[in-house]
Amino acid sequence: MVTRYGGIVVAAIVLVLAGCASPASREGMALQSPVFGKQFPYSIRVQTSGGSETSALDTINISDSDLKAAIEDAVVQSKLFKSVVQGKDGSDYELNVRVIYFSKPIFGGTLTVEFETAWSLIKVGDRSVVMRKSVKSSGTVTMSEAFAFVTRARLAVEAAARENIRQGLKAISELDL
Amino acid sequence: MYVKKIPEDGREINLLIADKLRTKGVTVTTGTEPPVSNVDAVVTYIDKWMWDITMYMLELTITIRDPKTDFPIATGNSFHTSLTRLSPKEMVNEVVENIYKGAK
Repeated sequence: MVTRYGGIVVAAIVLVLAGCASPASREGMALQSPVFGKQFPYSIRVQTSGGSETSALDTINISDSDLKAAIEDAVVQSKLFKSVVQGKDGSDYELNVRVIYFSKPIFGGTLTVEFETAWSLIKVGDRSVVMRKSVKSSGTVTMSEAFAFVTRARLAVEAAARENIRQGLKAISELDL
Repeated sequence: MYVKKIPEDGREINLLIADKLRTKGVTVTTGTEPPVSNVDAVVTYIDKWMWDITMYMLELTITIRDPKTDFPIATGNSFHTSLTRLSPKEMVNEVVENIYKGAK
């Protein structure tokens, strides 16, 4: 009987420590003071796809809206483009970022998340594709940084996403638009 | 198309993918070497396995890429935990069918 209750207590502790999956947040994916060394005098519209929402019983995901917001924040903060346009009309360039893959951590101590996105930049005027690039990044978080698994997993995903956004915008900044 | 085998893949998922693509009328070769220059697309995959009484494929992502730039042209993913587990062949079928549905 004692053993049975002990098992239930251990299971309860594991559930509490594991918790429910929480999605990668816009704030967590935001770049801190991004600088790309170039400022294009054009407006841009950002679209994202391939992400998904995180439900309570699901593994961690990145939502399209949060990824879009994080990219837009980085563009605005770095002043890489003159302005970010919402809606379908009125932008000089259109940036499409599609989530291709990210490794969803299931368990482990030090978590490393691999992340790949497909970036394409289109000049709206003539619909020409000025950049198509596969951007691969990773993020690692150790147990000393976050003890709870769900927090560690979220931080690793956010770190991978931040690095991905940084690489993608850096590639755009190297273009001659 | 050329299905690029992951060198560590002892389960030969590349062969399942190649077979499935052949049923779609695609001419497919596969191997670990870099693709020859005349292929129209390179197919890469990432398979993740878990243990629950027996090993099962937890997740499969297949990506069809431009052979020159590595840019992902199309991708598909399947994620099944132990309760809804599928065989590797079924996972491949599901992902490839999803890619073709998305392309229409």
